[in-house]
This record gives sequence, structure tokens and C-alpha cells, in this order.
Amino acid sequence: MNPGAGYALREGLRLLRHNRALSSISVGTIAVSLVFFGVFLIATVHLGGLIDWFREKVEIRVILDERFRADDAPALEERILSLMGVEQATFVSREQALEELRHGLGEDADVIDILDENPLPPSFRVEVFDAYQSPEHMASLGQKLSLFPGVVEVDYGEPWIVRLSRMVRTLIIVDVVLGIIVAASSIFVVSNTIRLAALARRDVIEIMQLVGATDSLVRSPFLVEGSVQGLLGGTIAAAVTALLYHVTISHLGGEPAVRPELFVLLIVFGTVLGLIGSGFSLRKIV
Amino acid sequence: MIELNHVHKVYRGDWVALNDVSFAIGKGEFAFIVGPSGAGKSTLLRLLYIEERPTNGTVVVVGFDTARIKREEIPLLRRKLGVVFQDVKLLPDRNAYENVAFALEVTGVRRSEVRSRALDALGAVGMRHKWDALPYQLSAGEQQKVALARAIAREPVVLLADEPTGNIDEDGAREIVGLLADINARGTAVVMATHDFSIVEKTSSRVIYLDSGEIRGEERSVGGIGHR
Ligand SMILES: Nc1ncnc2c1ncn2[C@@H]1O[C@H](COP(=O)(O)OP(=O)(O)O)[C@@H](O)[C@H]1O
Ligand SMILES: [Mg+2]
Repeated sequence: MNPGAGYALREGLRLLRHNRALSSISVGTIAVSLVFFGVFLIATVHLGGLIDWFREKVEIRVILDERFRADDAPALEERILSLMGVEQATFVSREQALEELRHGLGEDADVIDILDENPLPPSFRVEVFDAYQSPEHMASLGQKLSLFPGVVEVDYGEPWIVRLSRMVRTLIIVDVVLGIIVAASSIFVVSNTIRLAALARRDVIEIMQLVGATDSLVRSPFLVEGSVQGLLGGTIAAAVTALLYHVTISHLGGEPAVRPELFVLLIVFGTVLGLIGSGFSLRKIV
Repeated sequence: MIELNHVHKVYRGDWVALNDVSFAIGKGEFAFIVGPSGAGKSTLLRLLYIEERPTNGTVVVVGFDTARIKREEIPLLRRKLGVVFQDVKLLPDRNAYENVAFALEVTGVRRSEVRSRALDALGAVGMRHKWDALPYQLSAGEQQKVALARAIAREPVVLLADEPTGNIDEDGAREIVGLLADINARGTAVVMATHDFSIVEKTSSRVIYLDSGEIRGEERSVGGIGHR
């Protein structure tokens, strides 16, 4: 190993031990901020996943007049298919609709027998190509479909999707803002800890500079101290976040959508913040 | 080795600490810089190890022109110098040996060599037997000797000493000056600043008189303070 690296590591860890109390404040602050950050990242990943799930099921329900005759269905189907972005259009008669409902209800299907007559209207199920599922295009499709003869109502899951994607977009903004706050506060705390450590060792710094140690060697123990604080904070945060995630998933059920890289990211993020924080504080001292 | 040409140093815009100072010190030479407190002696030495830069004029030290030297090169210059001060600047939590070895470790001396070179340096100032004493366990004179050992451990080309006898009694002071002479005899140029005129009264070395930032005279011959 490079003798400079050996010195940096040895002295950096000595500093860390020597400044235990202050260092643990740094580590704690980084850990807590990164846990918040991690939780929001996970929420974003999950909501984003939900959107994709909805998007796969994007279909438009075209509700028709009760008196619509099955004979007219092929003609309407053709007109629907001629619209841009439509992948498939399936006619669902009143009877089919009732059958589907019965199927969907399963054991509770008996309730249907109470009904004197079939309350369900005939309809068309319209599937849209992935590329045409933007909120704008869905709206214009809905508009055109509602003008066709016999159409009573056009029903599409769009508002839900729109609301969801708006939520995700908001969450991403929150993530970014939170990330900046986490970064700023971690850098602030680390740089203060390291500044105090460096001021306490002014004599060592002075001697090193006097005898001709390079600036990078003079700085190195402090950079090690700061990075290790970040590394510890990030590791604690990753562990806590992973545990919270595991507990939540097993309580609520559901598929874990978060990849393990996210937790590694927390550790790397913490370490980098520690490094930047200590580098920041040293600019004025060394 | 050391060359100053029309050096001016102005602090905080208007305080002239050095005014048109020029002189040269050759390889292996021994020179005292003598003057009352506030004369500018420390400022002069700080220019030599580039703790300060001249406001005007040029300072050349062991081949480095301080007007052109880059920040990254300053450590290289300082590795060719040894510096000691009135306040010895030993690290209080390390013993004599560790203080000397530290200076070698952080300037890239191979680990296998650190030990022998540190002990040799302590031997050269007669402090080898107290290698494991912490600074507070040593007298002021002994602390200064350890500081000297640290300064010469890298076998510098020039040794700069700023009031090295300032805190030390008369006998101790004589001993330190004697050690500086020994170091000089082994080929290292020595520049020692002091306000103590009695130290240079009987010296045969070169003496540069400094007052109010100006050179007031110089002496090279054996004898007392002589001309002004
Ligand atoms: N960093 C500084 N800032 C402002 N003035 C200084 C500084 N260092 C020294 N001086 C002034 O410069 C003059 C010379 O100081 P110094 O070189 O320390 O003298 P000496 O070492 O001969 O006692 C003094 O008047 C001192 O007050
Ligand atoms: Mg002085």
C-alpha cells in the first residue's frame, strides 16, 4: 500500500476514535436524513410501479344505449377501430356483461338472481396502444367516441392515472428537494465536525506543513474521518430503511418493487457526502 | 543558496516590516540576523520558508524563486530546509523519538529508514538517551534540542532558527548555539535570528544587523559588535 494511504487511514481512524462524541452526532444526522430520503425513494418507486400496472390495463369503456342492437355492433366497431391509437374494440352485450359480473362476484353471484331484469347496458371495450395512452390523447379519444350514435357515456380510467402520475411527479420533486436538504445538512454537520477536529489538531497541521508534507497528505486523515462518518451513517440508514421496508411489505403484503441497489445507493450517497463535507471544511484550514 | 534582492514586505496595506533588504547567504555559511524585537527578523525568515511572500523584490531559496514557486512546490522546498522556533512546536502527546520520526514519516521517508534516521538525529543533539520522554518531561533546552533533531533529520541544506534560545537560560543557550555550529560544520547552512546581542558578541560568524526592517550593517570578522 502507498505509505500516504496507510498514514491517512491510520490517522483518520485515530481521529474518529478520538472524536467519538462529535463523530456520532455526524453519523446520526446522516443516518436519520438518509432514512427519510430512503423512505421517500421507496414510496416513489412503488407509486411509479402502480402507474405502470394501471397503464397496462388502460381500456376505455364505451357505454351504449339500452336499445342498442347487437346487429349494429360490427358497424360501430369499424368506426371505433378507425380512430387513431385504438388497438382493439370488443362488443359486450347486456347478457355478456351480466355473465362477466356473475363471474366476477364468484360465490356472491346469487345476489344477481334477485334482480328481475338485467340492469347492465351494452358496451364496447376499447383497448388503446401503449404509445397512445398519454392523458391528452386519451381525452381526445374519449371526446370522439362520445359523439358516435348510440353512445351514452365514455368511461376511462384516465383521471386516476393522471392523478397518480401527478402524485409521482410531485414525489420525485419531493425526492429531489429532500435529497438536496439531506445533502446540505449532512455536509454542514460533517464539515463542522471536521473543522473542530482540524482546529484541535492545528499543531499537527502546522508541523506537517513546516516539515514539507504535501497538502493532500495533511488533509487526508480528515477526509478519511469524514468519509467514514458518511459511510457509517449511510450503512445505518440502509439497514434501517431495509428493515422498515421488509416489515411494511410483510404486513401489507404485496410485491417488493425496490431493488437492493437502492440501499447501496444510500451508503454511497452517505460516503460521498462525508467526503464532500470534510473537503469543504478543510478548504479554509489547510 | 539564499538570495534577497530589494525585498519589501508590507503588512495590512501600510505597515512596512521590511524595507529594501538585500543580501545573499552561500552554501554552508553561518549567519546571525540580529536586531531588537520588531525589527523584522521573523518576517525575514518567514519569507525564506515561504510562509509569507515578499510585497516587492525577489527571494530565491535553494533554487526556488518565491515569486514563481507554485503552491504544490512549497513542500518540496521545505524538505530542503529545517526550521526551529522559540516555542519549540513539539507535539505534546508524542515522545521525543515520535516527534522526530513524525517529520520523516509525513515527508515520504521509507519506513525502514525512519527509525535509524530519527535516532541518529537525536544522537547528533545529544538526546538519544531521552528518546521516550514526552515534551513536558524535558527542560526548555532539551525540548529545543529535540526540535533541532527534528529539523536536521532530513539533512537539510539550510537550517533556519528563529530565536531558538529565547526561552532558555544562558548555559542552555550557549549549548544550542554550539549545536548549530556543529550542524553547520557538517555542511548545513544556518541562519539564526536573535534579539540577544550578547550571543553574537564573541562569534566569528557573519552577523547581519536588522532594525526597523532595514539592514543597518554587517560583520564577518572575529570580534565584538564592531561597526554599525
Ligand atoms: N502577520 C503580521 N501582520 C501585521 N503585522 C505584522 C505581522 N507579523 C509581524 N508584523 C509586524 O512587523 C514587524 C516585524 O515583526 P517581526 O518580523 O515579528 O519582528 P521580529 O521577529 O524582529 O521581532 C513588527 O512591527 C510586527 O508587529
Ligand atoms: Mg521574531
